Amino acid sequence: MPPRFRPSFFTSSTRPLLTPKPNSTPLQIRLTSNKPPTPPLLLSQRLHALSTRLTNRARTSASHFLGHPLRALAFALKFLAFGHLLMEYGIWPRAVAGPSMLPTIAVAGSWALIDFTHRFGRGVQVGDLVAYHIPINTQSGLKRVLGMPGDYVLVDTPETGGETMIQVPPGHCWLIGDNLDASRDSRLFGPVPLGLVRGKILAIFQPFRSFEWVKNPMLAQ
Amino acid sequence: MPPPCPSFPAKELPAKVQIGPDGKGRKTIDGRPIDLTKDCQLLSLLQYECHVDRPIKPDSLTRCWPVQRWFRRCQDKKGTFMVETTAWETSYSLAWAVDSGSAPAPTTTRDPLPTFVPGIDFTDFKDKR
Repeated sequence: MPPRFRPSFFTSSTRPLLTPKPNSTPLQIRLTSNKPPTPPLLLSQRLHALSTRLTNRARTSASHFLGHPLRALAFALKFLAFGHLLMEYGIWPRAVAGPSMLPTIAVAGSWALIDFTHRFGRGVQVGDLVAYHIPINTQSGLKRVLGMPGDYVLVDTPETGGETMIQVPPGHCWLIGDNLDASRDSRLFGPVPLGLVRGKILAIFQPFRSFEWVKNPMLAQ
Repeated sequence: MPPPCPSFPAKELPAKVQIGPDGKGRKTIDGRPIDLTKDCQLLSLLQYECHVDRPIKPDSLTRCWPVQRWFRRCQDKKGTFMVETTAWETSYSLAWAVDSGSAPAPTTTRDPLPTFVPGIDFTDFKDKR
């Protein structure tokens, strides 16, 4: 009895590969599944799947370092080097304290976002706030720039009526705190070498309380 | 050793700004000497004298009194430079302008400098600690 179904590409074969059973129904191909559509996952199920995936990844990462002390040491050194790069040459917040910059910066509890790419006074203008190494001790300070190399500045405090002036020498800047009464600045130790300027202040903030970008008052005029 | 940094009184400011930090003369773009009142833009900067009433107390009241500083942004052939004229502006600017012919002799007393009005009243600034 000849088969009821024999495609043309089987005609060259001596033995039919597909021999339907007698009285079988013709081949039917369904493009859609018979299964009912799966309902969307609940949030708890999604979280569980995510935590499982993260746990598996963490186990894989841990096994990457377990038993390989040199590999772990290299990773730690890379991590520390990147942190150092960011904290010394990138942008990083530092806590600031003291009454010398009142009312711009509070006595305590404030942080300054410092852009260290402006170190050595690069791109700093009169009116900017900068962080610098204090020349007379080992600490760092934060003051406003009132003179760059070649500018002319008043040495005395304005309120005292003094009229002594200097021209800021090349490679130096003149730094004054906003609170003239409580600031130890260039009036005390003279022009500050630009090599001691660490960076420019981008913003002043108090964590979870306030955030304010620092604007140069001289550029707004 | 730091470089020598000679000081001078504020009344010599118009003569001093003619010499750059390299010791060479300064000229405007069209070749004239620098005229502080005509060639330089007047700018102001506000600083303060603050007093913390009770420094030991974290939320102590801080009182600040503004101190006005004046600057002139001048331009010469090499670029711009800043001149603080806080002492010169109030005492010598008009006399120098009349002597150099850049301003007419006043018939009455000169107008006061523009008053800077801060956005908030800093006299009762409260430290937000």
